Amino acid sequence: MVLGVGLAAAQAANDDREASEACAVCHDTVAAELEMTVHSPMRAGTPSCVTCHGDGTKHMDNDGDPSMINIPTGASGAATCLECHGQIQQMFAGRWAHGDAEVYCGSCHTIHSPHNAQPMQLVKAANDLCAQCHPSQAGSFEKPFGHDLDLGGVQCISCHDPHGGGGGSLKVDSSGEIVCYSCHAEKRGPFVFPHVNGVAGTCLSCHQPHGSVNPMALTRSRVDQLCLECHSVFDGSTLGSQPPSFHNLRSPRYQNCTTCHVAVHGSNTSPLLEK
Amino acid sequence: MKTLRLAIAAFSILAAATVVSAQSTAFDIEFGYQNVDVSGNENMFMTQINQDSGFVLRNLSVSYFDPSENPGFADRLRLDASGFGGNPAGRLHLQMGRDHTYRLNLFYQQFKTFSALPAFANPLLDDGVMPGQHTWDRTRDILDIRLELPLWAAITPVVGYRWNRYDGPGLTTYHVGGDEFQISSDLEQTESEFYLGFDFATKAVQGTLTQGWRDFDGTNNQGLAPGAGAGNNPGSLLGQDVELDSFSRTEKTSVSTPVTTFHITARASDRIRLIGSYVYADADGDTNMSEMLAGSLVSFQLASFFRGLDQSVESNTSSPFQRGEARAEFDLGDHVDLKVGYEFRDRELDGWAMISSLFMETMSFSGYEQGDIVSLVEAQTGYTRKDQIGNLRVDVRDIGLFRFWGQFVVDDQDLDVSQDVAEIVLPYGQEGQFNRKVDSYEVGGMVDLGSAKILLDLGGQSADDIIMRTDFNDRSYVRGRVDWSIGRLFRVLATAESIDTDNQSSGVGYDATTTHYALDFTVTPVDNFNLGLAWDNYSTDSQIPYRVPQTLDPAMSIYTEDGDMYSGNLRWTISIVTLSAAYSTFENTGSFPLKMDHATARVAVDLTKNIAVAGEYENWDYSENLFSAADYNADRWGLYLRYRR
Repeated sequence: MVLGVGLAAAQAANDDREASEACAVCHDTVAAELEMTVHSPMRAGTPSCVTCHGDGTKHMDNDGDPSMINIPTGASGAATCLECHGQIQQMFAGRWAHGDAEVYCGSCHTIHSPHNAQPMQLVKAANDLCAQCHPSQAGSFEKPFGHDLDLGGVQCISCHDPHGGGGGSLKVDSSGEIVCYSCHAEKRGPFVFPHVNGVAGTCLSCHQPHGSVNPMALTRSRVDQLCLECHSVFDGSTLGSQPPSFHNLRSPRYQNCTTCHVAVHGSNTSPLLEK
Repeated sequence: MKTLRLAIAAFSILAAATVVSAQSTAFDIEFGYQNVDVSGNENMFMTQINQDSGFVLRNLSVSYFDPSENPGFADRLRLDASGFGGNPAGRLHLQMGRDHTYRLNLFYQQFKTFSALPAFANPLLDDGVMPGQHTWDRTRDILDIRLELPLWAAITPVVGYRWNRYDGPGLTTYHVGGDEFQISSDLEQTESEFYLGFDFATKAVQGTLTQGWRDFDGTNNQGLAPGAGAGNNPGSLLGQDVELDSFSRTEKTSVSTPVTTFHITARASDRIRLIGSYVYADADGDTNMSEMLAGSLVSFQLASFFRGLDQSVESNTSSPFQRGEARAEFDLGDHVDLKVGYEFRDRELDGWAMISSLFMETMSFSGYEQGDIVSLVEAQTGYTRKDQIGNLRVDVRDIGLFRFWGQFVVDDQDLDVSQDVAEIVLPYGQEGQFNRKVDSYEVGGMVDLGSAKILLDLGGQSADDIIMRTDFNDRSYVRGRVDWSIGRLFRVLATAESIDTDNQSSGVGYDATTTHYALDFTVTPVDNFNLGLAWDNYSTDSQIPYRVPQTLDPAMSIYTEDGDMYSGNLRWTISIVTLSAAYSTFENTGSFPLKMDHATARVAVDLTKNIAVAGEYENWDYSENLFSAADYNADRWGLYLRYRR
């Protein structure tokens, strides 16, 4: 059955290539460029004009009327690409991250251009592409603490999958956990004495990855404030409220919780996270 | 490490060089020298920016494609690299392959991480001691290689290797014997993962099955920082000076984790697609730590003075994690999609630690010589967490100018935390069974008027209980976006977002509001000129009551941010000269008021069709309202040569 599918696909590709030769009569520049891409019709088993644009007979019979040819845009356009890019289709499955905003493959990727200036056939630098629709998030990186989006640093796509995926818009690492571990592997644990991560929160419980006005990209400017919001008791019992902090915060010694509790990401040797 | 970097560079250059003479090759490189000059707090500059003087590879890209029937060892290659040298991060990405033979993807990234903050973890700040006691100057290297062998139409074997190393020196602190002491750290942590498996694809079914073996090995050698033996706190405890004469600690951790990953997408019919995925990772870790110290120290736990400590810790963790998902997608006609899904996540932890401590030459607080005292503590920890998530989503598209969507998600969280006697400082409360059910909804719509698109999206979440104090009971958000453009002439993009979070249950009283507005304006009157202006405001205001530890009086933890950013950029090409410049100013007036201005300018001149020179200037000006010792002003000048063909 597998062999049959392969042969049928190859035959269809050959038929398409012959039908596409007529396109090059008018679209000679595009056809020439296309030959120098992975979509080159010269290559066996690759798509051709007809594969994506459909039968162009009516288009040609009507003096090249653009309404008579399929120009993939929007969700239906994406569906055209996904017919072949099965791996992407798999990633997209059920998580059409950009479907809401009518973003489709061609919004970010160029199809015809050879030797595009950007990898992945992107129409511009990956971070610039994201920023043109997500200016708020891009602006957050101008804050003084956080990830460096500059030359050679992380990219939006380091953490986010524009195609969707197992973690929604956030990627997951190779074992299906939060993407932060992909770089910050030493924070993964597991720890005998865990703290927050994996138990009842994530890295984002304390950190702002897009950029923060607070050192260590924390969500609070004072560490004791960040700690005490959980480690404080009124009535009821919430995780982390016991034991409550009992140090005298008037002393500078105790205003910096992490001076003693250094292992705030978890420890294998100290129940009080002191090493 | 250097050998690895050289090997990656050599392989990439060799791969690129072998195809450079081929018929369809593009090559673009820009490199040069930059000089960085900092006035003010250089440590803060390095913590935030970390640019350094020296050689910099601004960009390297090689693109090659050979459409012929016999292309040699590769019919396509793409190499991109940037940032290596004086820049704090560098990235290299090589993709190459040959039809029906192989596809190779190699990614390497390096980060120089530095932190030496003046006020963070710094109990001695009032004495004018800077930076704080937690600093590091480390490097992170990440390598990711994946080789696919598409030898057959339906099955593609896959083999890959991931490698992540974090190492370098740092300073931290240790609380022991009644004081805190600064200690040095030499850290070396490596996570590596080898995996193999296969992708499968037929017309109706596609998927992946891989088996990986992940290993983590970490070693941390620590010693007493020079001059730190007197500790942070002057004076004596119970009439005795607290000092540390010597300290050494070695901690080694190894974790082994087999990881199984499976994904499948099946087309049941033209209108129904079924998706399944499953990940299982079973981590098993061991830690050995030995610590030796000597000095004049106090233990309130033993009610004794002591002269030395010989401590060893052996610990083990076992933590299986699995995550599965099943989903069905229905195409209900040309305009309506329905998606129904279920996901579960299960995590368990069983932890065990044996802490053996030999306190040497102890003496009771009353002056009785007790000799050496041995303390043995066995700790056992554990938790199980189960999440079950169901969701239903409907998309209605292409109804005239409109499209709509709606989604409902139920997230049922079960957490069972075991209490361990060894951990208990105060009885009650560290353990417990927690159940939290969160219902979420989202509705949205978009109208496409051609030159303008307007999007509105609102949602809410409601939880029946909380696990941590900062969890919400209710959360709502609304997002809007207007995107208006006239061809390439101009574009206006306005976005607004408001999030309201609160938990007014007894003993919590958490309330937070966040708004985020952005306005972008871009004008391109002619092809060779582009101007962009932007404003961004991020505002947050949260409060939650807490008890002041020393008095147990209630107080309110209030945190605010109100940051405005104004920015502009332009790009102008006149004949062979391209000028680009950008400026941004960000000012926050909340709990941690600060200001940061950032300016860049670049002039590039095309000397020939292939060769260009460029000069760059960049300036950062950072100031804090409450703590001027953190301020800095830094300039970067760069001169670069670009060659392309």
